[in-house]
Amino acid sequence: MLLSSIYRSKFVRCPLYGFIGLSNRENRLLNTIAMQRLSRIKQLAHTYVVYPSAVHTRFEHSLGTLHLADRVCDQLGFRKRERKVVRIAALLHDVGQGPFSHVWDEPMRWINGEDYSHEDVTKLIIESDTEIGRALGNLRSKVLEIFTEDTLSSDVISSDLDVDKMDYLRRDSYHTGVAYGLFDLERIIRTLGRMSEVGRDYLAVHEKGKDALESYRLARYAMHMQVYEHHARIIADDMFIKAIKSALEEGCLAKEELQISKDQNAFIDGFLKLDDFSIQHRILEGSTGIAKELIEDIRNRKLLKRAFKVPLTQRFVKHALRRRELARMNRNDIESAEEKIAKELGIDPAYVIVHLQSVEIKLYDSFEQMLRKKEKNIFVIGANGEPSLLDEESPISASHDPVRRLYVFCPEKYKKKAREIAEDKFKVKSVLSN
Amino acid sequence: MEIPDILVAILSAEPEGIDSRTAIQKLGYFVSVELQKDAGYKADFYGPFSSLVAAHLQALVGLDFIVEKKRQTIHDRIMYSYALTEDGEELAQNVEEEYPTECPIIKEVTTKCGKIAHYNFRVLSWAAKVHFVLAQTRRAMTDKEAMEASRLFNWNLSKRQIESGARLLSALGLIKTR
Repeated sequence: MLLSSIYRSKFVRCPLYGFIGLSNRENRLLNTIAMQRLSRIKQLAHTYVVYPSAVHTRFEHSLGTLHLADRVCDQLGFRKRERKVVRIAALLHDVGQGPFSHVWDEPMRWINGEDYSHEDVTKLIIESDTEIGRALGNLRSKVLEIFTEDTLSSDVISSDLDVDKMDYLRRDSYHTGVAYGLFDLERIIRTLGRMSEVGRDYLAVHEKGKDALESYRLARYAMHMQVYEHHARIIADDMFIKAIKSALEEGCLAKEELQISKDQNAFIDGFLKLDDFSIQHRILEGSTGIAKELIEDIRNRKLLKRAFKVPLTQRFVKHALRRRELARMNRNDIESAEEKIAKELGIDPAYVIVHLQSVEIKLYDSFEQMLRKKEKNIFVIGANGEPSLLDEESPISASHDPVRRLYVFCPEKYKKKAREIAEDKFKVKSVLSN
Repeated sequence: MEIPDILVAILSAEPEGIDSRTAIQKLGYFVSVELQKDAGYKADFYGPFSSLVAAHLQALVGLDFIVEKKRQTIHDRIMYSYALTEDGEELAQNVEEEYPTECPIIKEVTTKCGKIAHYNFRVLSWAAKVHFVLAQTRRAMTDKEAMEASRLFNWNLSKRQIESGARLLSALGLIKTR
């Protein structure tokens, strides 16, 4: 595929794709404060505590997503103008991510409600940021439509088979060294097509690409099991969340800084100053209590340990109603359990974490992510031209995989006692013997 | 009543199990209409679809309350079926005690869909689409008007499909026909 001359204004090197060509406009966008900030936000939050090379950032992921978006536009025969818009949307799609990526979503939900998504901030920045607006010019409203409308172009950026996922799976695999994340990207792109229904085109894969598609879904599952759901990463992420909670209580971080609804311009100004480094620095300099201790512990890899673990399956939690009760624990139940365990251990609740893990369901995103967003099906076009849902036909199913695991994390010296307290509280035996 | 409870109650009404995720989606839709519960249904290719229902169905499989089986059809396609496990049946009894008003309604909706449509996902989809169109446009329609209106949701319903869907909806008491 020959890149159009307008996308040859600048080239940026990428370890996955070689050279990524950019237009003048895209280059201007790349050099805005909002985009440059992404080079200070790690793609995989605290995964580096397990995989030391996992320090790649949202910045290069955004470039990679733009590159794949262009490949898909080419395959689908998009016209020049639409291609331009989709490329830009791909470049900007993560501009609303907070420090440590998805980990920041949790404190934002405390303040802004359970429906909060970083996409809300992405849309707000595209809509309101002056620098971004200048670079976008008359394309601003078209780019926003990608994030608000339900079209083929928006499917390219956000669906069950979008360029965002395709890039991050390969990129995360590359940087962690975990080979399971590799899938047949070229085959998938080559077999992509459109399926036209009344008034709308849908993203679809030709039947010949079905096996490549299954490898993609398995890759997602494997990466979740090996990387995204690694317990040490979960512990470090949760410790960070506790640090933010303490920082809000101490006052070195103000609730108003996380609140979108009040003064949106002030919110964006403040938000664009927040990245992995600045938030750690704020807490280290501003906190005199637990928030600072937790950040220091994360930085020095003095992480809490697993004291208790139980998969919520029939094998480990035989009592059906008990299993349901545990699976249904909400934030209040979890905080209450943390307080109880901490009280019996004689330590601050900031050092006890009860975590109800959501394991990747092979077909989709994690359980929690599915609950938050609209899921779009992947269509497969058969040899006879008839469409079907991959979901309905895939040999990959959810059975026999524990969807939920319950963990308790605490300081090393309290592990044994914490396990006993948790077993008593939850009325199930831990699979860890400590 | 939460979505997992609804799913358990649906499957409790059909001890033989129900084929196809799409069928369960549509049963969930009809139940959510009857119970006036927002279960997150939005227009999708095969009709109203809820990612909440999809997520909870898979979660219940992972929690060993529902068993998911697959088989090859005569057209060499894979078909999934869902049924309650023993633990799922115990849970269903608990749900019945907790929701004595709702569960009989769910049972009635499910068994009617079984008797009339044999849980055929296509028929259930047509019915769900027709209902969705009527609910969103909020007015009575002829078949022709419904065909036109379905295009607003990117659906291409034929007269036959609308008639089939309307028959089921009428039996469920979800629409009136003249």
